Amino acid sequence: MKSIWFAHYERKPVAIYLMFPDINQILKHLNGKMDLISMIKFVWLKHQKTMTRAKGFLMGVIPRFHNHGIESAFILNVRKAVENKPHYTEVEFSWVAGFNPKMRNIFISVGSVPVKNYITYSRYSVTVSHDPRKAIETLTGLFPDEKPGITSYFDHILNPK
Amino acid sequence: MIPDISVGEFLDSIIKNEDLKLILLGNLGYFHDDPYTLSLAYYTIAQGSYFSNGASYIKGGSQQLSNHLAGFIKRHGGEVLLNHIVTEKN
Repeated sequence: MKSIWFAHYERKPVAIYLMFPDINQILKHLNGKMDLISMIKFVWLKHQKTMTRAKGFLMGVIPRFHNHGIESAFILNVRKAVENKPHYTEVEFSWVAGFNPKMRNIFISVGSVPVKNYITYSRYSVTVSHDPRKAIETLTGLFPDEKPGITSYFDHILNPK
Repeated sequence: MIPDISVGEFLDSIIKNEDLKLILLGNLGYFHDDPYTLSLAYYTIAQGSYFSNGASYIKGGSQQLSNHLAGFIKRHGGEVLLNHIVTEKN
């Protein structure tokens, strides 16, 4: 099965799609080993068409070429590739971030069905220097309304009375 | 005199934003797990040391501190007992 597609415009690449067979469907039968017997088993399982799932790992289109149908063209190509390998019953686009509704909508529009939702939690990633002046500067920049409290906190910590 | 309150109460009295409180308590895990039962005095000493002198570690690992304390006790005629329950102190 073809794994990598590029889209070109005027001989320059403008988009990429990357897909692999889900090798985990074989590896789970090898109990974490990769000795000679496991290698033979691997080849045998591959010939038995144990892999029925492909995973789409990456789709990237240069912003200038968004909304030109390149994404849909890739997906149509995926469909054709899978039709030529009928033992593949599923293509999983599991690396589409939940906070990327644009990509989600593209996949849903061509008939994909959301079956797993991974929730991404994000919070502040703040490095507070142990240099009080820098720490105060960083924190007041992030929380300008709290400047009096921040000043009071550092005053108290550094000059306990 | 450091007021006899918890760190949590202190922060509640000067700061409204809950995210900012969490950031300021970034080192809490080194001392305790609950800002409302951790003394402000204790926190002030530890956190003040961090802001004044930076972070430090014991060369050779924390076991070196225990070894040093045990050595000090022995040099002064004391005895170090392991795996004993303290039932009384003089």
